[in-house]
Amino acid sequence: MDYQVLIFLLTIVSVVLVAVGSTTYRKLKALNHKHHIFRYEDDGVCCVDGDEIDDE
Amino acid sequence: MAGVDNAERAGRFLALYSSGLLSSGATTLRTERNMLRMADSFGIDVQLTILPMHCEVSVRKDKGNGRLLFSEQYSRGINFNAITAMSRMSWKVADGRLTVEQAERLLSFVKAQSRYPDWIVAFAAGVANASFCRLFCGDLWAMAFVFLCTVMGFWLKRCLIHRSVDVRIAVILAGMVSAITASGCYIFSLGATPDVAVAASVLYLVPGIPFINAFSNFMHGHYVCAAAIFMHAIETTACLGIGLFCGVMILNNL
Repeated sequence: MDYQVLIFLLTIVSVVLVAVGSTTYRKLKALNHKHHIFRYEDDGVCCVDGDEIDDE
Repeated sequence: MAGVDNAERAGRFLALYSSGLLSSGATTLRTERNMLRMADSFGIDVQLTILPMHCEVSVRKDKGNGRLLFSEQYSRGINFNAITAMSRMSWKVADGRLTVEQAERLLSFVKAQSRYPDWIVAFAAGVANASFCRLFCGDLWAMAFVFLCTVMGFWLKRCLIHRSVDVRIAVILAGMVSAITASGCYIFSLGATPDVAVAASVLYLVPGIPFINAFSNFMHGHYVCAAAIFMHAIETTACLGIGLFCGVMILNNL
């Protein structure tokens, strides 16, 4: 196979691999993080995921 | 104007506002105008010093003691939606329709707004660059390869920046990948304008907005900011040139 064709194909394959790998890694990392919802009620009490906590 | 009681709070908001606007890619002229418009509505005297990496806001009310507030510019890339939203906000504040507290909340909301998804930006950049190729008399094959190389280079640059790779290295690699991919027209003998495809392949990396902002700052007397932004733009342009050179050299030497 011509070297130029080889370089061309290697470039495309490597970029696709980097893009897919990076996107998959970020999605997996996001899945492993549970998202907590912090909220301050009107009376100043801090709640995490709906449960009251002492924010001191 | 009714003005505000807490000049320091208003000054802190203005400092955050100016750094947010500049970080989103606005010119110093727009930032100054918007900020002075709001300061007038708040009834405070404001002096703004814009430096390449941060802003200094000096606030004084009713000839009292002044306060000097600093805000750092953050790097989140150019965001025209944020610039438009913040400019509209300044008019609302100037019209007396927003208090400092409401403006603070709105500013936080605007800053927290997510940008367009990466795949939409990559697709749009590809279409725009292919259109550039057509403007330079490229044929359909050249346009197709320019679209492909732009999407690939853009995506690679995004991935590398997300992985905390230095922006200059990311630009060099993206330019190199784009040049090699656009050379597909040469390699497979497709179309009659393969040279146009290679030339247009790295156009999406040209820092157009920094060049325009540098010129605008220069015209309005902000020479320090103009020089800093110009140097940054030159640096990016040199990196894309190195990437294009490396791509062409790799293919020519093999």
